[in-house]
Amino acid sequence: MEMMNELLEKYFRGETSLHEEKELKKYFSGGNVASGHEIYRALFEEFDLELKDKAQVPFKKVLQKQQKPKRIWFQTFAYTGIAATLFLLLWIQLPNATESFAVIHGNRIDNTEFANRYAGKRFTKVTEMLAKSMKPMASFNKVRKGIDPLQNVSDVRNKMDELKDKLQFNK
Amino acid sequence: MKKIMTLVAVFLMVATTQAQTLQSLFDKYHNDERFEFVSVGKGMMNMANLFGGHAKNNNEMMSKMKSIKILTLNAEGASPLMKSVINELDKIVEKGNFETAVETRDKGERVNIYYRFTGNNDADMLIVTKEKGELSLIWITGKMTKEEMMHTFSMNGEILKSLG
Repeated sequence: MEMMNELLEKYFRGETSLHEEKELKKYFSGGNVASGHEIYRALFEEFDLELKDKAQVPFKKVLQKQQKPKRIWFQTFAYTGIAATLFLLLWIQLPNATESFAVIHGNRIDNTEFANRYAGKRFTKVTEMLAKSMKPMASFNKVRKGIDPLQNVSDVRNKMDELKDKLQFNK
Repeated sequence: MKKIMTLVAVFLMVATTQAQTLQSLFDKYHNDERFEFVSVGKGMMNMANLFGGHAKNNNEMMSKMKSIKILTLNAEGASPLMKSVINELDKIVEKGNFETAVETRDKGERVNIYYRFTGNNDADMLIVTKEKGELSLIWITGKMTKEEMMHTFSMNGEILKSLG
């Protein structure tokens, strides 16, 4: 009785060894439990029952089932977010950075100013070539503009003819 | 099995040759050491630079152009490369539904301007200049009408306007 009291005190202080706990279990599961210790019997029996209880396995399974979808959902969300960010960065940044460039004899030059100047020179050249070869067209336009007053002369002549016809008809 | 593979290869080669476009021509030669290539993207165009101050309504023009690509080859007119490029270009112009807007020739200098519309005013303008030892292709893409295209290369809008 004395020894069991000591063991119980030790147990509640959390200082018992596994061997001592086994002793306590053995004592409470046997038939010789002192009346002063009867209040603790239910506690030790409950521990035994919990050990035998197999409901822990389904509980674990449920936990696993609940955690997995959560992790997958989170991962999918994270990966989608990263992919979307990368896509946006590429979409917004890359075209601006790479659209204007020059490749001169195999060497790439990423310089917008240079590309602009090069294009400008080409355009000027084309404009000059067009201006030179289209000089006759410009002369033609001048001639056409010069002929325009003659068009009025023919209109006046037509009107005079019409008047003449009318006068002859009245006679 | 070998026969099938050969047939597939031949089919792919034929399909690739037939599908040559202006884009593929530029892609083919833009990294070639014998060529000079310049690409100016939308938003990067400095119209004052490009048109030497001739362009009217710079902002309006800028909003209409999407990109400018220039490919230049410096080689003798009789060289195989020059001949090959001109040959490829002619095929592309012919099969690509391009129409001729301007064709000029003056003392060995040639300027050809082609254009096409690919729906919803999406336009391609191709300017080909050829002079002694130099071939230059200027490819402009944008949303513009024929009149706007013509105006792009007019000296204050006078020369080409008279044609169109």
